[in-house]
Amino acid sequence: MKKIGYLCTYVLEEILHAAGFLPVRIMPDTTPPTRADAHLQSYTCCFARGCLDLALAGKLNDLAGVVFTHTCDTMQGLADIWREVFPHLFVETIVTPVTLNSPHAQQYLVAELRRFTAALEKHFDVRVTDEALRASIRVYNARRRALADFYARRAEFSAVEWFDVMNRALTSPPEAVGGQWSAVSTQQSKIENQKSKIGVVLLGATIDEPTLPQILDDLGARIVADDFCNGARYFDTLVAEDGDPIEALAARELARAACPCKHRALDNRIERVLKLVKEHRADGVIFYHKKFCDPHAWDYPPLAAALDREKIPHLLLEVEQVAPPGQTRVRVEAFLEMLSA
Amino acid sequence: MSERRYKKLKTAPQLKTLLERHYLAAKYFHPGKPIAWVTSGAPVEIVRALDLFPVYPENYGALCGARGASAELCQVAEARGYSPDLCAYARSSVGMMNDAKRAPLGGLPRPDVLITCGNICGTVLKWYEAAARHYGAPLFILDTPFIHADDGEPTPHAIAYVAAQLEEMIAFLEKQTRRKLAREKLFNVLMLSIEAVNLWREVREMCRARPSPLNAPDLFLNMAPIVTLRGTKECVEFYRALKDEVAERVAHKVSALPEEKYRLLWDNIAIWHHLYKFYNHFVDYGACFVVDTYTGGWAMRMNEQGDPIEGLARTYTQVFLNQSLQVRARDMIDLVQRFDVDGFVMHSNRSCKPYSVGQYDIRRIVTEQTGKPGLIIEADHCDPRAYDDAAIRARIQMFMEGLQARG
Amino acid sequence: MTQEYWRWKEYTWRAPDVVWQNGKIITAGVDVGSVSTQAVVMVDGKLFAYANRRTGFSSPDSARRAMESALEGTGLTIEQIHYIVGTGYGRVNVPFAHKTMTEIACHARGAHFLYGASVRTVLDMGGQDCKAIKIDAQGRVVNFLMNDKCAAGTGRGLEVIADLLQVPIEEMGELSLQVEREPEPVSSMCVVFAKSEALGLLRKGWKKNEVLAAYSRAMALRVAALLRRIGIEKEFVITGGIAKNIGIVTRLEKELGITARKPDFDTQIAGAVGAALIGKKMKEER
Repeated sequence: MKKIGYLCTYVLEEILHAAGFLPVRIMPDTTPPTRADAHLQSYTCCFARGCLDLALAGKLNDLAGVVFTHTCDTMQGLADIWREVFPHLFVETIVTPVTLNSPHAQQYLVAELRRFTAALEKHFDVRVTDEALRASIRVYNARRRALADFYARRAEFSAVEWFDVMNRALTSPPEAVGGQWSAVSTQQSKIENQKSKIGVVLLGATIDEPTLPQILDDLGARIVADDFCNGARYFDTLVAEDGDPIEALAARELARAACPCKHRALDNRIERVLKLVKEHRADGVIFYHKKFCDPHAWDYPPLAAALDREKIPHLLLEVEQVAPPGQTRVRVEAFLEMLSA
Repeated sequence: MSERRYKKLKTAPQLKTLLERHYLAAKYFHPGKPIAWVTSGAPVEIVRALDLFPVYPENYGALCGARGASAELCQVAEARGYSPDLCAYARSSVGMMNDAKRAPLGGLPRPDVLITCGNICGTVLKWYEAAARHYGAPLFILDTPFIHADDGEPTPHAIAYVAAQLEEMIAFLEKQTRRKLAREKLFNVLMLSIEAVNLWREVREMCRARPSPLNAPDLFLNMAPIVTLRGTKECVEFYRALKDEVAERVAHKVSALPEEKYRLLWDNIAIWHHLYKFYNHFVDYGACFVVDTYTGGWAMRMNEQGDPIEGLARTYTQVFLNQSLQVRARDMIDLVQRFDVDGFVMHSNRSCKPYSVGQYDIRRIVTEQTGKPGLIIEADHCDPRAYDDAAIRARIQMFMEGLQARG
Repeated sequence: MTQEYWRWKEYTWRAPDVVWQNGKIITAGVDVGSVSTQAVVMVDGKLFAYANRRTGFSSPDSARRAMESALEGTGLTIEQIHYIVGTGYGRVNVPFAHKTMTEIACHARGAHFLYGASVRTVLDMGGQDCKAIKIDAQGRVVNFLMNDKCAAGTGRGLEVIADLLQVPIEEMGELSLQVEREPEPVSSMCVVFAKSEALGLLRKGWKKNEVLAAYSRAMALRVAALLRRIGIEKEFVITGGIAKNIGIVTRLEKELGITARKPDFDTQIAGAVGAALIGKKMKEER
């Protein structure tokens, strides 16, 4: 089956799936980027550089296309760089609205989705019917529900197991749902996790590699909730299965948990984070930020201030391609020591 | 303290007075006019038509940079947890919000409303959110969808979206000011804007002359009114005077530099904190920056006919920073050719990702198409701590010697 | 290098009036840093002996050597110590330790013991990293910030310049203060570039103490930024090897407008002291 890659959770997988493709989340690997420096400055994030590097190294040659959405300034520029470097590839950006609360956002987004769909149809000479879209929506909703179930049973899994499950979910066919993941939970991790006392909420954009989850497992802490693009925000909110499918897809985009690149209300994200901490009775919050990620860096001071007001301890980790194990460990360990005192 | 080493304009005192008056009025005398903080790419015509007093935190950021106050202000922001990798204009602004006594003029007046338009970058959304939290002022966000299309044309639904938001913005400001927008007044302000923008375009175009009557720092300094006073009579009057003076220079073949040996193009925002020191390195070689991509951002085409709201939607969605690197490369090639430059210099500005990301590819495209060499300089438009003069001088030397060798 | 200007001194100390044989709980802390290792032995929570040794290629060996140095001539053996806590960069490599704790928790506790219960802000400038720790009246960590990404405020950073200027590390501080006028700080964000900037200054005719002054000021500014982010609360104290550099300390105090309590003991042992005290608590809770 032909694959189309995407770089942001806001990409509407259902449209790609209905067109007959397998949508695959592109994530950088742990190889330090070398080729990407010819196109991207060193002050851009390792996510952008890492993904471009994969493409330049020929590791994404099995993708028929790459789809972006509108998020931050770096990704906005990367989309056009990608087009420039790979002129024969289908490279498109779904220019999603920034103001999720605008009364005109829905109408605009619907038109933008229709434009994108038409471009997809034209390039690949396929038709995306409403019927196919509705079928894809049902399939992806089933996956969302399965992931929500997995999250509800989070305590049975180690952090590394959680990371593996999410990683596989985003790169495998959506039809493979639920079953394969329950096998992941072993008797071993069930017992280990019952020993863990400290629960943390993780915040950030993407988590691309398992250094932090491994450290948390080693130190006996549990991830009780997260707000990652490739974590909880991925499957947040279902798409309505009746009515016009494009309208339904657009509606979900505007309603789902927002990332810092979007605006719904001034303190929307702060409220969401505090709710996560309280609902899951977390002992603390760990910000897992990539260096040069502007949107998350902007949200940090107001979030930290809100957490301080509520007397919720927090730790900021700023990482590059791979979280440096020694440096990350000492910070997390000291943070956990602080929480247990 | 570096000084300019090229001809001073006769209109310079007029410029100084104009801006001083603007800032003084903002702080002390704007009867009946609520203060609006506005981003540089926002449709200020609507703001003026409703009799608000627009102030520009970005322009103020440039001022902080030029006056050597930005490093300290950035440190205030960083002490509060703002990453040093964020835009230095915004960090200076946050620093000012939290410690106004360290800021020039004691800081900007507090906003009664905040208007941010994303056509220049994503930072202004977050910056103005921070301002809204700090001041408790109502915030309006104008979302102008980015144009990835090679022809530089926005989609019809993007224009419809922006136009609808402009109506919303009018309603928002009407509510805040308890006034009703007189469409006739908007039309008049728009005409003043168009006139000023056309004059500014003509001023820039006159630098096609050999020798060029102006050098880049002239362009950077003289662009201030088009940003901060666009839509006013004073702005039009100033640019008329400037145009006359520049025309006179051209007529008498008066050169900005003592001797113009090389003509260059500049890309990205100016390096405000080392404005003269930096450009003097080029003056040493007789190199004049006859054109740039930054100040041209306010030489845009504005529609005189048709529905003004749709015209505004179109103008402000199509600004150059809302366009792909492919379109910007084409525009740069056009400038290189029309202004007959020998080479170009791109400021890889760590504070401005939307302007800097894509430069490496633009440089390659422009050199391939025009045969002219390009130099990339790494610095920051507002944070002097990211400016390494020795390293920069070395790169300029290599580049200029390369140009000299080409003959 | 013809002369190793960067060598930190090694030494041992013994309490004149503590008899370990009369003690109920004997504990020890071993702080294996990237540059130096300290071993501290405490008897019933009172300082008994300590040693400071340079960290070699092998962390377990460095830990053992430091421990043996501290115990030398006391008649006390490692096996007789009730509880040993390892800390520092090489903490997982102290084979004879019962537990490891991060240097953050240990420095907090150590500073609390050495300076008193009024301490609220601890700045530790060590060999490879620099950290700011906020503590409460019991010596527990309330908040912390680390800089281990760049050499500012670290021994490594000083070594680079000491080596360049051929000045012994212990003399850097005093020398840097012997200037008539405080020069502008070096502008480079990174010590690697600061080194080439320093070379440039020397070529321009700057004297060694002037370059030291510029460099020390730049370092002090970076460290000050770290402290401002966490918020400085009185009493403010400094631990770690760089606390001995009066040039940096003076400039830091001036920049922040706060005076650090001056120590009357060796600031490098704070981590190991804290580790030994935490060991005492562990033993008591068993």
